[in-house]
Amino acid sequence: MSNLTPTVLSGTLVCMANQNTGSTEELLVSVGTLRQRVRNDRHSFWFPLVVFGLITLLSIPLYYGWPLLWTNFHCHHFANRSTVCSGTLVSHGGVLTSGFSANQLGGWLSLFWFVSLLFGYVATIAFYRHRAVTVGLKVRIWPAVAVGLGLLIFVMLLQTYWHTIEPPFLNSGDFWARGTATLVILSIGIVTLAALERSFWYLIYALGFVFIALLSSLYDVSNLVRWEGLGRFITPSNQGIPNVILPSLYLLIGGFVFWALQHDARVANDDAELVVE
Amino acid sequence: MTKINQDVSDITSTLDDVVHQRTRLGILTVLHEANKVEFGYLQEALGLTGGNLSQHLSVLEKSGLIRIEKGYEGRRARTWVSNTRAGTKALRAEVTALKALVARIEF
Repeated sequence: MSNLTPTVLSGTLVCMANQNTGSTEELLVSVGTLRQRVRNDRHSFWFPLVVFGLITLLSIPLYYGWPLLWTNFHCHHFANRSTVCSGTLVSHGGVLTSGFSANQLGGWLSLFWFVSLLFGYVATIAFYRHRAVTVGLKVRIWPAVAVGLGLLIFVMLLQTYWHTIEPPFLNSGDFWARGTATLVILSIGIVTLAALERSFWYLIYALGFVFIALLSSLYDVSNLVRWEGLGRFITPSNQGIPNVILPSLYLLIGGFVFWALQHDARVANDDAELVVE
Repeated sequence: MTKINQDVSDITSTLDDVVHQRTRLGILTVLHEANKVEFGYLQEALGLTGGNLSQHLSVLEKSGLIRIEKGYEGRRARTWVSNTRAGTKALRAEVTALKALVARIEF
């Protein structure tokens, strides 16, 4: 065991081990600084946010005409700039977009989400591997990929056999009807990545994305636009698009902000090295 | 011996000589933050020469606190270092002891 000599010098504890002398407090601060430096170099989570933000943005054309799932859809514009719309909800189908009946539109959207999310996860793995080689820090991200893709495949299987299983916890047509439930699955993968990256602010951001994804799945985001007096731009054909624009903007803006923060932190690391030299 | 000196002495007796060394504590801290760390990154982050770092890594490896893997990335030779479970445990114990020491002095 230790042959350290503890002494109290001007109120500061000094531990001496061999030739290495330093205050314990200083040592703890150094450990904290070093830890933060490695985290700054390691964090790369802006990349999946940008990739999945772009994928979500690319899905927008597929949501044009999605409100066809509304029958008897009509809007009334009032003089005070508010708008009230109503109609009857009819599901469009597709494994990832509805659990009721399949048709052409829902099927294509499901295929798009499956292929693009697969691509997004593969691109994320490739980017983290590239960073590992160039920076010299390998990060374990397979749990996030396993959770994201595993949940996606699980839900697809569940949806395919929906009629025979009918699990009560997912038996909500409203959850699937807007065609954006895949974003909720994606959000759980992003929360897992945030936990692996050990970043408090990324975790808060990721939980915010869970909320946005749930909002897009359970609520007509176009109603928020109507409150802003922009209701005249909403038509039966495009009223599902705000449900995709909101999460894609959240991901893209988040990706850009985190990229800028991580870039600044790395520059600060390099500057600190110059001072030492 | 006063009570405070006795307390400090009790805590320091729990410190592990292998870990309670600024550079080696730094190595374990860096390794704790990533799955695997390349030799060059450790050298740069800790401001050490290759020979000096190798010596410290050798001490830690002999104590079973780290694992060293040598391989190639394309044509370039690479050395990856990672914490073992014992290394993670030793790092936690060391930081806990250091915090306890500071707390004793600060009351």
